[in-house]
Amino acid sequence: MKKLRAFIFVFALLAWQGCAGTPRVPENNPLIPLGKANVQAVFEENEGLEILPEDAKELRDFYRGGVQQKAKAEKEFREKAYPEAMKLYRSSNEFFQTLIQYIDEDAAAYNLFEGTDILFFPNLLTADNHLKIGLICQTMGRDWRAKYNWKRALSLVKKSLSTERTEWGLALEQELLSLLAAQQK
Amino acid sequence: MRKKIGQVRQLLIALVGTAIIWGTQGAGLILAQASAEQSLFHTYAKPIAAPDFSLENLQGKIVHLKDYRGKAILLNFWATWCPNCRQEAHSFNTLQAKYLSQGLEIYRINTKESRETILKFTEKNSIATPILLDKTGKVGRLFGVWAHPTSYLVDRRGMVRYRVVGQADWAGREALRVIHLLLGEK
Repeated sequence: MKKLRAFIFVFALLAWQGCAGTPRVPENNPLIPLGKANVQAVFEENEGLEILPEDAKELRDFYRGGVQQKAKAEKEFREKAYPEAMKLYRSSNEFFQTLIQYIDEDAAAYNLFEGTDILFFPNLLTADNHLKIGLICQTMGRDWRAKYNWKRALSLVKKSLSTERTEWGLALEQELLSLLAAQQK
Repeated sequence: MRKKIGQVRQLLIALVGTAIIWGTQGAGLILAQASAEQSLFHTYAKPIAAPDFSLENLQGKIVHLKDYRGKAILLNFWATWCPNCRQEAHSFNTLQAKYLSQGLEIYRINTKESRETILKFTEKNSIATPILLDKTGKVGRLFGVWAHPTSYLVDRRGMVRYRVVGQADWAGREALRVIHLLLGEK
């Protein structure tokens, strides 16, 4: 009985702590149009001085580094250089994973400093990387691996949409759902 | 009595357990902060070419970064609304007076403020360091500036060698060591 009481006490404390950290979903969250939040706009905001993995010190560096690696990966993907693209997508995700440990909410207007906001979508960008990794896996005939990546992508898209509703996110969600549905057939 | 001691012991165990879980969750952040505070002057693992840019100065003349190849350059991104930037201002005056003849160019790049606002500030504070106007914030974005002040030290070959995020003591030992190092290179 005593043990049960102690267990309930610890459980209640942890639950309370957990609730305190739960992100709040803004009410009447407006839908951000694709023209405003899209992958190309994110690339443009982060081009310039390159961030190498060993130079990433601050959280902003991890975001910038992840975006830059993704931009390179997209180029390789378009040119069907799949092994190179896969390597870059993974490198991009490594940057984002470090960042997401500290800031895990996407935002269409993340304030850097007075008068300067940026498109901040670590979850959606990671999801898009997983989508592409899945497509590469499918090309290689590794269907189970593709499915794993698409499922991961879908959970990240949902997370992104829970904090910032974007047409970009909804389009990704649709694409992932249809890829998963097609694979089940 | 024994029952009460037992209850107190269980309560203590529960509290210590919770504290440990709580503590480990925050540890990552503390580690990240500690590593960020190790040195203000971040050295790039591999020197990276400074993105080229052309910006207007306070007098309306266009300044091209590429025209300063062969000199060491200190680029400081700042704004008048930023208290740390205001505090740094005078140390740049001193630095410029001492090292300009040795090949150090200092440019303070203002982010998105009007010429009038900056002129008012420079006149009031006797700022002698050249100021460039990054009206749209595009140059700041090219360098990946995410906080003010942020400074970049570019070597004579046009490679970014150091970055400083936050206020630095530009007359301090570490700053002077880095500047001497860059000026000593060919």
